[in-house]
Amino acid sequence: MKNLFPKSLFKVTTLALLALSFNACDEEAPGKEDAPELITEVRLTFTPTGGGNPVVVSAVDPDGPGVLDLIAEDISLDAGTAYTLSIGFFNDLIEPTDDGYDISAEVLEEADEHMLFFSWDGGFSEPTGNGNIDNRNDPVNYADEDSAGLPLGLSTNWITTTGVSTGSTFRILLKHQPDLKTASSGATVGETDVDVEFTLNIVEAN
Amino acid sequence: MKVPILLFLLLLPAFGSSQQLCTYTLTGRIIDNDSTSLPGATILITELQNGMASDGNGNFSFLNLCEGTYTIEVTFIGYKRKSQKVRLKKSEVILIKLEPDETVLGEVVVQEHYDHISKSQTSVALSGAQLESLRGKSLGAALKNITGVNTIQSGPAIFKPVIHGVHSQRILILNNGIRHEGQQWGAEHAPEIDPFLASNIVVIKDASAIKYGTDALGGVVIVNPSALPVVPGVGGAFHSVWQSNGRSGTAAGIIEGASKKIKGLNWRTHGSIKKSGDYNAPEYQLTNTGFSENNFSAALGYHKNEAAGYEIFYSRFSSELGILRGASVSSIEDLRNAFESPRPQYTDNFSYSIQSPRQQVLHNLLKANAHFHKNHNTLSIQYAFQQNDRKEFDLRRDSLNSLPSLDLTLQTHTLDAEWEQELGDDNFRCIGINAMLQSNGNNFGTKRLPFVPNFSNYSAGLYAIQNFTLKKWDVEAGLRFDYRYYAVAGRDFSNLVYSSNMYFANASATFGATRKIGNAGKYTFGLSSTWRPPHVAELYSIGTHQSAAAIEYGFLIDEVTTRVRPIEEADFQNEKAVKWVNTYRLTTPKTQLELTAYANYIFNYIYLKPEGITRDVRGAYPYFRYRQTDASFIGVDLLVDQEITKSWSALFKTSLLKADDFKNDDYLIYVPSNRAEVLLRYDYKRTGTVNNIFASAGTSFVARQHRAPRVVSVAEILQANEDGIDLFANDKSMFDFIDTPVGYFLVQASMGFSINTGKQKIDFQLQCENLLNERYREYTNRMRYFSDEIGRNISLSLKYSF
Repeated sequence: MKNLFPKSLFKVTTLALLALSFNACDEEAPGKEDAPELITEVRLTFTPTGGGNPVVVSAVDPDGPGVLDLIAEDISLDAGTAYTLSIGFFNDLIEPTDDGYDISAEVLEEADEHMLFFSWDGGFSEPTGNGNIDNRNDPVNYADEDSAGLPLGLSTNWITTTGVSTGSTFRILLKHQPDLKTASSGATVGETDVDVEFTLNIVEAN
Repeated sequence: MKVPILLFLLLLPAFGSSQQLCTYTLTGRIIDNDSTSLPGATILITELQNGMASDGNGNFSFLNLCEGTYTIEVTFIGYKRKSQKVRLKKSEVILIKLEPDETVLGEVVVQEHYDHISKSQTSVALSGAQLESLRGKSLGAALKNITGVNTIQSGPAIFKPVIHGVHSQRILILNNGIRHEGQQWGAEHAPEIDPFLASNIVVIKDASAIKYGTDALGGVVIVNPSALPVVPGVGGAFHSVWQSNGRSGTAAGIIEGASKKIKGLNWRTHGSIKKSGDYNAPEYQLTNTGFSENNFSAALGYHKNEAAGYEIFYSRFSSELGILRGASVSSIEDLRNAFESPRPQYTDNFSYSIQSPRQQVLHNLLKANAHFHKNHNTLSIQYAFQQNDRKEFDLRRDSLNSLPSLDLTLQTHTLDAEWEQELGDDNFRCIGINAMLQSNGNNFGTKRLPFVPNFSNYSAGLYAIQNFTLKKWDVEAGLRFDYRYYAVAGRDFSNLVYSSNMYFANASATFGATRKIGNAGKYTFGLSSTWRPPHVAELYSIGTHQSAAAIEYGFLIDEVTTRVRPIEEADFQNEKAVKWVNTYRLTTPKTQLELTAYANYIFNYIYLKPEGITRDVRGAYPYFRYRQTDASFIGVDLLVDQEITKSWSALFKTSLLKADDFKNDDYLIYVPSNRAEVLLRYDYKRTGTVNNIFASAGTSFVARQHRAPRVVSVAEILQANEDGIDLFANDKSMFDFIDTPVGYFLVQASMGFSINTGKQKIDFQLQCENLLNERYREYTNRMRYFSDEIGRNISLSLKYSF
């Protein structure tokens, strides 16, 4: 076996192997990404149009992609009252000063490819019906629109029933509909960005 | 091994004297002592200086020969040169038997040191005419033609090979002698290899491929280019393929040569361009399923006679692949909408454009190798550097759409050294080492939490194989030891940094034996025990990955806090496999039969297990955790190729597989169902300028997979979520959202001929797949939730060789 191959090659091989076995050190972590698509909080602000304190409720997913469930607070609105609902989407896993904290601002910017849909089974006298998730043409009082004049839904108008009730459901669905959003595109079109259900109670006005 | 194109180097103007009646054909088969066919042997008619290589079945055929006596000279690596006189008064069929060369290092061998596909392994090759008819297909799609090999598909263009029911991390792919390192963990990550350069593709179904490293629990795929040319001169081939489905075009060329001035200096360069638009299913377009691919390679070799050889090789693979746009879902309600929709969302007119979701992959390989021979010893050393850049783009909000959601760079250095000693009686012993240094990095700027962490991987392995003869048995035994060290650093769900270091070590062993049965039969069995360290993705991945409506948690993600645990606290065991493979082969001039029966038990089998449902702002999601169980894969592969008359032959293949999670008494998901194929072929044995005329037609039947996990529909999940019930709390058995697709029959046909004008040759082939434009869905295609498979596809292939 002697002189079968040059000695230098053997040395190179040995050195390379030694380098491999002793060079093992700690790894550097990836850089911190903003993750502006991660939404951990859906915040509803019902502002009485006739004045008064706004009602703010949130649905919060404490760990984003983690295993903990999203918890939605109950909504309690005064009976027989008109409200403007504005919806905010936030990522609470990062600081409010970080980029990508307020995702609703991004949705507004790209209004022409987003739309919010709603459904409920009680609690409102206006709009009538059960919302537009099952049928795009059912009434929802959108108070905003995109550049093409199509509804967006970050701001909507509601009037509660005069009678009190508890345990109704109120569902909010945000769809991403790039190139698909039209006057007739419904809630099954596009991909789901947000789909959250709240419990709605209508209480006696003070 | 040689590709037919190489022969044309050897071709000389032999057909000049056309006055004589020169219409005879000399056909034959090259076999070895055990009657095994030898593909890729070189057959030369010395009087005419006319040569060719035997095809995948060891067959060759010389046309337009005149009456007379010829000397047929056959050479093949590892066998003694054989010279034989043939008197031709009519067309003849001959069988040439080669004797193994005990002093293997003859003149021919110095060419290229090939890995021994050892005798006691169960291996199947795609080469010669069979491989030629698959040109233009991706590696995975081509491999489907081997019995026992299936694919996990993600639409019409993304194929991952599955050997005997296992895939991804459990299969090793050797590209030009180098362990291919890409992001294998993803089920929609196809191997980044251009099969155009391959002159043969070998699948080793044993786990006994011990010299290639850990991970080969299911088997090994070996993609070999042909050896660089020996005879001085320049030759090459141009190939182009058109397909109706996808309106795709492929152009590829190989030019190679050997220097006249410097003996032993040779080279090759190859390039290929592929472009496909949207494929179509029988009833609709599959929007955004096109792809484009550009590949290039160059090789330079220098071989000193009998003493040493050096080679350097570079290849670049670059592709952009669209993923069915309608498969983009981000909640299970979206998934339900997709199931209920008669055609995928976003279905549009035909287009060549590729939008999100899509993948952009670039794979560079640089390899240098040297081999030295003396007496009965061979030493080979090779070093390779691979860089794999993968970017995946999801359908995102407009401002993010141009950013990849996943952007990884994987760099791998490998160093292999092997000493092999020929022992006489066709036996050998070898000792080798493999070393690998790998680093995987997330490139900043995805605006998404990284799905897998950054890591470095330091691996080393040492093996020894001994081969000996025991009475009538050829026996082979091997032992291997491996060590792997990971340094990992990533970010958890809340963007906090974690880091960890760990190592894995274990041994593998194989034992194989083979013997003749009768004159033409051969029986081989192999028993092996191998292992595999976990992939970092299996330990740490978190979140949802491209077009999967499910959340995945790696093995080390804590069940309660979702933080990362140290591996010591998790009850992790290395995956270990025991595989037993039995093969019977029968090779006669008229019949080829190959029957393989196997049982593969994989202990601590890592898989994604449904563990529960979590609710986030997109609604309810099933989530899966990487868990371990014990799995078994038991099956049979059969291939029979029978000549019926001189012109007619029939081919039958089938592969049957039964896979179970025997620890939990459950089924595994995505296990290929049983299938069979029958093909009838007519060869018009004609001599003249136009020859090799054939036509074939066949049908394949794929049964429904009845041995599949239970179905839990989206409606059930949503209902349970509404009712506050955790569907998976008590029953954590596997599930699927929809039932398995029904079985299907497909019909295919093809025809072809060659025009041979001495030095130049044109091959023409017309193929039609899914002739009846059948609507069907394949269980192992991840797109089956969203769309039908592709409809009728007519392809036309032209090859010009010189």
